Amino acid sequence: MMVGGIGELYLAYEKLKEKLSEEGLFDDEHKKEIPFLPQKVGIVTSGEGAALRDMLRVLKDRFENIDVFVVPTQVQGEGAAEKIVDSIKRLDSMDIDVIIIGRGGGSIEDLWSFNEEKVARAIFKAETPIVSAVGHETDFLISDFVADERAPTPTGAAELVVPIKTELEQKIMEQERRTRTALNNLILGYREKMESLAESPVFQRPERILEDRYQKLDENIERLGITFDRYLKTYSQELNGQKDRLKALSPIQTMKRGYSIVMDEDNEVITSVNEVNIEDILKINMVDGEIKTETKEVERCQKKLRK
Amino acid sequence: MSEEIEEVEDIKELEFEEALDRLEKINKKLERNKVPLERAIELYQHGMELIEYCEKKLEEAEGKIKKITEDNEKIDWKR
Repeated sequence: MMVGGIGELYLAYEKLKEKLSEEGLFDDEHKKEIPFLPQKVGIVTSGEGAALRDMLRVLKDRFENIDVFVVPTQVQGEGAAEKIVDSIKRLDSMDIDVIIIGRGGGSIEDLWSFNEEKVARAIFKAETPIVSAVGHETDFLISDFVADERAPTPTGAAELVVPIKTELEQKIMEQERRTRTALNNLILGYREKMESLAESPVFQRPERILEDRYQKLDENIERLGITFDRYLKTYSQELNGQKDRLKALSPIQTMKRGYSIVMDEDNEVITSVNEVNIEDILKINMVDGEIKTETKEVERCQKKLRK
Repeated sequence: MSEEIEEVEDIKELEFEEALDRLEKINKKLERNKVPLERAIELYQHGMELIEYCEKKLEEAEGKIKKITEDNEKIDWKR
C-alpha cells in the first residue's frame, strides 16, 4: 500500500493499531515464550546489508553450533509485505524454534512493510515464537506490538534469542562444582555421624546390653535363696517348738527321772493303795520295759500325799 | 495377699523380661507374706525354673552378640 504523505501514513498506522489492539492481537495472553536455548533459529531479512551480517556474526560468537535458517526477503518497497508474509509462513512450516524478522534502520517509508496488516496477521498466526527487530529509534511498529518479543536492533534480537555458550558452560561448571561439594559434605556428614554412632558404648561393648539384666537376675537369685532359707528355718523352728512342747507333755521324760507307772493286770493305771490287795499281780512300766510283780504287803501312808 | 502369680502353660512362651518380672513377684510374695509351706515350695520351684530359663536366654543373647561382633569385625568403619 503506497500512500501519499507522512500524515496519512501516521493516520493509517494509528487506525490499524487501534483495530488490531481491539481484536486482541497485542494481548499478552497470546505471547509465546522464546525458548531459552534454541537449536534452530530462522531469520527473515534482506539478503544484503549489514543487518543479516551482524546477526550471523553475533549468533556465531555467542553460540557457534546453532543452526541458522536465513530466508533472504525483500523488506521494503512494492510487494515487500507479501514477501515477508511468505517467508514467515515458510519458516513457520519448518521445525524452527524461534524466528527473527527484521532489518536495519531506515525512514518510516522504508520500514512501512512492518506496519502492514497482513504482516501483523502473519506474525500473529505463526506457531513459532517471533522476535520483531527493526532498527528504529522512536515509535514502535505494528510488528513490534504483535510479535512475541521485540528487540531494538537485529543484533539485539540475536543477543536476545541466543545465550553465550561460554557463560552457560561456566554456569554449568559452577553448578556442578557446587553440587559436588554439597554432596561431598552430605556424605561426610553422614560418615561422621555413622562413625560417632559406631563409637557409642553399645557398639564398642555390646555385652553392656546384657549387664544390667544379668545383675537383676543375680539379685533375684540371691533374694530367692535367702528368702527360701528363711522359710525353711522358720518352719523348722516352728516344728522344733511344737516338738519341744509335745516332749514336755510326755510321761517318758518323767519316767526317765526314775518314776514308773503301775498298772493292774487289765492295764488300768493304779494311783492309790486302796486299789491294791495282797497277792494282786501288778505291772510296773519303765521307759525300757515292764516288770510283773506280786503284792506282798500294802501299807497306807499316815500323811496324805495327794490332794 | 499380694497379686497371685498366674500359672503359665509353657515357660518358654515368656519373654526374658516377663520371666524376670515373675521371678521378682515370687520374691516379693515370699518376702512380704507368710506363704504356706507347700505353696512356698511350689513358688520356689517355679522360681528356679525361671532362673534357669533367664540364664539360658542371657547366654543365648551373649552368643548372638559375640557372633554379630565377630561378623562385623570384618567391616572397616573408617575406610
